[in-house]
Amino acid sequence: MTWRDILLGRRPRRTLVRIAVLVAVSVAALKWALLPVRAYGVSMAPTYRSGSLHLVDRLAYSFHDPSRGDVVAVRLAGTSVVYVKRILALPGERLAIRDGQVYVDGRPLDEPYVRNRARWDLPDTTLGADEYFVAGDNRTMRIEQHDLGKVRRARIIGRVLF
Amino acid sequence: MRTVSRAARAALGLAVAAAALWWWWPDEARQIRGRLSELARLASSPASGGLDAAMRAARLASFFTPDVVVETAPGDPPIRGRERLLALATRAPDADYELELVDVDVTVGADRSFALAHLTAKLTARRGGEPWIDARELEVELRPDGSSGEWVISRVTAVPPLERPR
Repeated sequence: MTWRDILLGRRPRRTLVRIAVLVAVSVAALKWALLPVRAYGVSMAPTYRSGSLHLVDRLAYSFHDPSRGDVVAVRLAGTSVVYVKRILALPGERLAIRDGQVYVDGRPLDEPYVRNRARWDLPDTTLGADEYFVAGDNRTMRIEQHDLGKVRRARIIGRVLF
Repeated sequence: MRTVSRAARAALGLAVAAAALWWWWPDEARQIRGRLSELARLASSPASGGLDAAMRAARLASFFTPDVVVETAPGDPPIRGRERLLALATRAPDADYELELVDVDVTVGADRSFALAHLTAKLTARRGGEPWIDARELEVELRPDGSSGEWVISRVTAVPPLERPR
């Protein structure tokens, strides 16, 4: 058996076609369906640690809207750099943060993913028809150092799978 | 040896000619992207000061208009003027850092007197351990310089993707 037999099998043409199909499917998947991201920073600790690799499902919201609790990728000018944040409130809802506790429409939000809370305070804000409120899971950092806020639906490119 | 058909040779020749035409055809948007890449390379620096910093500042100056305005965040006072901007940008850094301008989308005005670039500025700093990364979405206004004809930056506006309640 030669190296060619080992690498390409008994039917090289069929093997090459299969390889070409596999490459095409992989390219299509990574271009349109999935987005690999590496997390930098501590804003999503302890859920995600800095340097960890994740996959964003770009088709997650093709047939339904984002839900509260979803961890989503938010684009900047494009998708080379994205924010990874969790959705706390949905369009039309009213959000406030008092002494570290999140309130949505006046009711405290249960957040099992938050380990410790600094005493964050944020004024009442009502979300528009296409706005979501996002924040990271790390509530031990000072709120001034944490990127959070309202984001338009068009900037949410998908849901983090893992 | 298989003979390549005349049609295949013609198609290949046409493809090569089309590629060459695309490569050499003057395109303002591509020129602007090239200028911005050059700016990012120049602005990235190993930690240094003194004469190096002064020379770099002189080269960086050619990328901005004298009256450039940089708006860093809504509500914050803007940075006005090229000298002020370069004085801030060329302070001796305490770490190696790399600036990349990615996802650059350029629109050139119909009369070519104005251009707008929408991009993400990604800054990676290294202080011996894990890299520290910051990114900002920016809108960059450019216009052609009267004397050199090169595109220069007249205004930079930060675009916050998340709106923090005030």
